[in-house]
Amino acid sequence: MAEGADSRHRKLEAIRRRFAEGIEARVDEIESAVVGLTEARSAAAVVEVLDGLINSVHRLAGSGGSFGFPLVSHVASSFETLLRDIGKGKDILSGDERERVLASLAALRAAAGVAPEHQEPSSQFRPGRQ
Amino acid sequence: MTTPSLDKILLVEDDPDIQLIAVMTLEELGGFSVEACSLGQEAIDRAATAAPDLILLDVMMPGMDGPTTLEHLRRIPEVADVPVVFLTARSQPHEIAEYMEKGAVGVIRKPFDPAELCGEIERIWTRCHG
Repeated sequence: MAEGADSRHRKLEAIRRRFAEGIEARVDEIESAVVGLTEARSAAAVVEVLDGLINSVHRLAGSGGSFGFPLVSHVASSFETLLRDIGKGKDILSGDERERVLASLAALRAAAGVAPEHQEPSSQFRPGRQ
Repeated sequence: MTTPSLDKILLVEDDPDIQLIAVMTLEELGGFSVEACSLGQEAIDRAATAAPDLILLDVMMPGMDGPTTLEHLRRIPEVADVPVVFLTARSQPHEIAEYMEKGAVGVIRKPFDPAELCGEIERIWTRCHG
């Protein structure tokens, strides 16, 4: 029985390690999309980038906590809400929106850099409020 | 009246990391037999032969989303009455109410705790057969 529990624990840890090793690349992908979004010069360009960006952030929001990164999920969830609100405007980003998106990205990258043992969501991480 | 046994779950989830941890958790912690699909159309194609007792269905997926997939599954005689549980990171109260109106018997929020996933599914199963 103990062996079974140990085996499951090792498998779970291996899955979590795999996720942790890939998280920076996921944030890099989001950053690339954010650059595209903030530099978009037409509503059509915004829409084209925004859908994919929302999807990437949404996936991180929905997965981080399952792999020992609840802070990442928390920050990504707020970031997703911001992006969806921006998407309702269907227009190029205002200066304020651009700043809030960049602040959210910075918060997400910071959250991804926090070790799993320190990943409790904290009020200090408030995307778009800096 | 005794609750029927929950043995087989059809999991429909496009995120490979979440699919991996969900399958591992459901099979090794819950002892369930799990058939995993990555897209709504794939679930529709395999549902009849899969013959699940319960369907765990992601809401946001590329192509066909979860609610649309559910509509199609309800037209397949072999799974028309199989309980469906939505799995989603979009879990505001009004969103959960919408999912239940679409015919789900429960909603599991993402990110889920792998240690709690099986318990949540079993509670929903017991409740819908109570």
